[in-house]
Order: sequence, then C-alpha cells, then structure tokens
Amino acid sequence: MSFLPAQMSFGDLRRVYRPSFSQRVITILPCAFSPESCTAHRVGRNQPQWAKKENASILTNWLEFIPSILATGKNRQCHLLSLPVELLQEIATYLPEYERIALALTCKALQATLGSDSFPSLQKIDKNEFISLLTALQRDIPNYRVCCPCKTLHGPNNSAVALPPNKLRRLSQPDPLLKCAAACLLAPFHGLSPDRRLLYWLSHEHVQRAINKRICLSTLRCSGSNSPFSDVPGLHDATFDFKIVPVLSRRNIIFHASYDVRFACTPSRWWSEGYVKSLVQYFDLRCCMHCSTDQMLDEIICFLYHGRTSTQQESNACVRAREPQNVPVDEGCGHHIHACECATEYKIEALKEPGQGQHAPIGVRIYVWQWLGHRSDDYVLRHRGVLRNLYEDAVLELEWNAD
Amino acid sequence: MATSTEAPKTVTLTTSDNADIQVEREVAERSILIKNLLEDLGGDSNEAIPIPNVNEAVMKKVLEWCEQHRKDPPASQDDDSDSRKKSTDIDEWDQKFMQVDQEMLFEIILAANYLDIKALLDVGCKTVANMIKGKSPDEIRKTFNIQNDFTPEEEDQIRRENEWAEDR
Repeated sequence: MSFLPAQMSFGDLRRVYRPSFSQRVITILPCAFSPESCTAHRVGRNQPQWAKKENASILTNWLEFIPSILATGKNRQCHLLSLPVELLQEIATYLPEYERIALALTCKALQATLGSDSFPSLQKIDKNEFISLLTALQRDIPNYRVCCPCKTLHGPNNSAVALPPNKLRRLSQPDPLLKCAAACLLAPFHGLSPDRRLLYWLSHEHVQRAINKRICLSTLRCSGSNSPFSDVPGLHDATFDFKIVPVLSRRNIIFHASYDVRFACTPSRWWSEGYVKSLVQYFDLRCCMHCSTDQMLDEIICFLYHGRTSTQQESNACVRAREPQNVPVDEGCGHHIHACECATEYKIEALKEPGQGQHAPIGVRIYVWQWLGHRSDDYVLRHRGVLRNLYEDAVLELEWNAD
Repeated sequence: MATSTEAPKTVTLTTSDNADIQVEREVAERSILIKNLLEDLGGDSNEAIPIPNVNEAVMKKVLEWCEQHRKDPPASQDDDSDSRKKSTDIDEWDQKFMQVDQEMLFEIILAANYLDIKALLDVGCKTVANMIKGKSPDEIRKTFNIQNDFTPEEEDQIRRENEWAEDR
C-alpha cells in the first residue's frame, strides 16, 4: 500500500484531482464530474458543456451534418402525413399517453389530428409517464434538465454555475474547482490510477443559489454506489454508497451526507487494525473538505475495535480505549481536531447483516453534517448535537410542507 | 348470391398500373373489399377485378401477406377497439415482412385500409407505433422526415402552458 498517501488533506486533493476543462461554465449538478455514478440525477440531465467540447472533432461535427444535408433533398418526403386522419388516430391508440403527446408535438398537423386536450392532465395521471415525457422533451432541449421531485424541466438560467474567472486564470495553480468548493467527495481510490474523480462537488455559488431559491434543493441531492474494487484484495466484494441530502435551514444550508463502507466479512473479527486502516484509506471520508481523512480513519478504527462490544482494548491514544463507559460509541473517540473553522458534526453507525442483531459490524456508516452559509464560525454550532437537531427540524419542516 | 363452392379457384386483379395478377380466390378473399366484390359479381364471373388505388408492387406485397395468413381465422370484430392501450407485439414473420422502406410501409397501410384487411392494417399500425416509441418529438421528426412548423417561441409556449418547463 505504499502508493497511498499517509493522509489525505486539502493539499492532497489538489494533487490527485486535476480536472481537464477550459470553460467557465459547467452544469449545476454537483455530480457533473461523474455523471454515471449518481442515481438521483440519472434521467434527463444536461451534460457538462465542457465534456462535449473536449470530445468533439471536426470529423464528428461533419458527420452530424450529413444526415441533415440528405434530409433536405427533395426526394425525401413525409409519408406519415400522407395517411388519412383516422389511420393516424388508429396508430396513436397503440401509444401510451406521453408518446402520443410527443407525436402531437412534432408538427401542427399532427397536433390538430391528435388533439391537445390531454396535455395538462397527464401530470395528474401518472408520475412515471410524465417523467418519461419530460425526459423525451429534454433530449430536444439539452440545456434544460429534468427535475423529478419538482416534476418539471429546469431552464438554462437555472442550470449552470460559472467559475469565477479570477480563479480560472491561474489554472496551473491550486485546483480552481476545489478553491470554490464548499463541500466535495472524491471517488474511492481505484488501485494505481492517479486520477480520482469528484463524485460530488458543491460550490459556494451552489449554496448561494439554493439559499436565494434560484435552484431547487433536489438539484444538490446526489446518491450512488461504487463497487467493486477488483485490484485490491481486501476490497473485492466491498461496496461504497453515498447519499447527500442538503436542506435549507434559517437561510443557510446544512449539508448532510451518509457514507456506507461495507466489507465482505466482519473486519474486527478477521482482520487486524492496521489492515483495515489500509483499506479504509481508499475512501474519501471526512467531516469537511479541509479535514484530513486520517482523522476519520482513526474514528472508524476506534469504533470498530474499541467499542463497548469489542474485547480488544489495546493500548491506544484513544479516549474510549481508556474509559469505554463515558464516551458515546457513535460519536467517535473525541480526539478529532479540526484545523479549520467549519461547523461540522459526524456520527458513526454500525452496518450489520440483516437478521444478525448482536453480531459485530461488517461495515460502517458515517453521517456528516456541515453548516454552509453565513455564521458558519458560530461557536454554538460546533457543540455536539446542535447541527444534527437543526437538520432534523429542517427535515420535519420539509415533510410538513410536503403534506 | 353465388356460393363459394361454385366459384373459380383463381381471380384476376388489375392494379392501378394496369398489371394483371392471378391469385387464388381464398387468398384474395382475405380482403373484405374483394370478397364482397366477388360475392356481388356472382360466382361464375371471370372478369378481372380493378383495384384502382393499389399499384402492382404493393399489391404483390399485400398478396404475399395474404398467402401467409390464408388459414388465419377471420378477425374478430371490435373486440379490442375500445381499450386505449393495445399491445404492439408483432409476430416474427410479420416483423420481417414489414422490414421495408417507409414509402412501401405506408403504401401497405393505405392498401390494407382500402382493401379492408383488418389484420394487416393492425400490423402496419403497430409497426409505425413501434417506430415512434421512446422517441422525443425531434427524433420522431427525423424518423419520418416531418417538417417542424412550430416556431421556437410556440414550442416554448406549449411547454410553459402545460407546466412542463420553467425558467426561473
């Protein structure tokens, strides 16, 4: 494991993540850099504009033109519209509602034939059909994107974040993306590959827009799963799941994430502390982006090996190893020290096989809360439980409003 | 009215381009139009039946389908015409049969409609429905070479009126 950094800090982030983009504007989705790993924004997303530019060549541009040149030829006529109205209507009976609407939207003649009466009612009939319609419509207007919770297409004004030009000017300098990031998550380290993609990237602009309600919060909610890690023996059957659900609280954003690391066996029973440590290092687990992954690593090892249920009480600097009764199991061992002034909180939970109540965990779930917005340096917010309670309140309020 | 047992085994159809096609009467009678015509003409008639709306190429294609489906039971009338969602499953032979260019496909549909061959019309409509399925309006336009006569403003307005899109 010599190729792994001993600890991951902000400096390491700059080193391992080098984006290849040259434009100022990128899509607003925080999962823009790993479109395939986010399940929350799987449908109807507007792809990052920089990706298009990067892959396009003169040849592919020309190839795109050829069909349209052929299509304008006189011998290509529309045979579909040569059918009488009753046959067009007969064909439409074979189509589900949303496809009938897509057909009616192709031209005025078909709209007149198929009628536009059912357009508004679809939204009320079937959510899945409606999302299918939006997904189809989005393909024609690629700068829009489908928002499933809002049940609409968000427009271009609502779809891109601009990177501050003064930060982009010095591209060779520290990563501009990370300079304007409020929170981020790197993909698990895949073996020897030097590049680590950003699974999640939340900029200060995202936060400001969400606070001012210029983007919906569901835009910022990502979730996904990563597996397997075939080149690392201990992680063959391991999975990494993340779920990030920020909420709005008193005109501030509380960033909340849960990260699941699940092994194929019970690590505390079969593996040594050192070995598990070397495996957990592959994951980007931290309470804020300035903090080191090593701090969380210590907490996880402490949770797995020095907990109340554990028999191993090895000599360690860990508080819990000395006074197991006084330190709550889920709150780490308490020697986690921040160098930054971020108001954050974290909690560790055991992942167990279903149906195995008292058995030792096969993985850990880490919850992270972080206050983003003004007053983030407020001392009160850094008391344990404060942020968590504020988050719970905001979620309850959200549910209340939804009802 | 003559009974079918006395009828000649073959009939002659004259297509729009004045081609005569000899075909077994049983095959030709898959078309309700031809069947009714033959019954009206009487069994002993050897006259060619004019089919002014269908040309030779399309007629041959239609008769190929009739030949394949000559033993099919007569279509049950209106059993599924009310149900809004119909299956678009097409059997394998028909799928291969319908692998023709669009001009021919729509000619077959028009011919099936004119000749009143319900089962063939259904296969044709299903084929077109399958070509539409899963496509966006623009993709449908490209498939069928439909000219978009909506202005971008009109398209925008439709999306807005129906609350499909917003631009805050």
